[in-house]
Amino acid sequence: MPKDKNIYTFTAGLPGLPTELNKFELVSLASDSPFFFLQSVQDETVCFILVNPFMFFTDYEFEITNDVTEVMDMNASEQLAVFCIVNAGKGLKDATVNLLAPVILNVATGKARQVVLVDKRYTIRHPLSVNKPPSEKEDK
Amino acid sequence: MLVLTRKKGQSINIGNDIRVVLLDVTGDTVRIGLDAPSDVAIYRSEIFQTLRRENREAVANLNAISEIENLVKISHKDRKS
Repeated sequence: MPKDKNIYTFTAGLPGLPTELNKFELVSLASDSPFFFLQSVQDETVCFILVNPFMFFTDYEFEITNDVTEVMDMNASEQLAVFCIVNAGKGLKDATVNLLAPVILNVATGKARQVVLVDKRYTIRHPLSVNKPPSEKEDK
Repeated sequence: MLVLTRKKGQSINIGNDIRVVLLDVTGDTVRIGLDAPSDVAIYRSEIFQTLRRENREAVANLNAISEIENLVKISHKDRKS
């Protein structure tokens, strides 16, 4: 199934949002930025800040279970993009990242899902220290 | 709430395409298998409430959006110079 450019469908919706808000555009801000916007196609007031978690948390890892690969029609991990939602409601200084429930995108099919990990290392509100420039870690 | 008694290996159908299988019972732990279409989200209840609240709070306000936009602009400029 070919997909519209950068439009992703959360086939099961996003918990907490009305189920009809399931189409989002992934907006990249700059090629070297860890930040992205996930903008609702159906409601312009709904936008999430996403972060590439691996640029801030270099040892972030998880296994994607079979049930997730099945519902997202995934055959290869190359098709996957992983992002985490940033909560910056109290300003960027006090922003947190949801490492417990990453957003997984299938770049080939445009299907997306927020999965909940079973991993005690990760929390739903992990502090994000923006002051540490992610560029330092890019060398690796 | 509908209450049914099931034995290990038995299952329950909900609607046309959701099936719940009772896989194993050990002490007070029950393992459950779930078959459901891809548009049905399945989450553990205790985390589902927290996740819903967190997602609602994480919807970005205009301040946060412009903070991010500025940050990206600044770091972009830094690297160019």
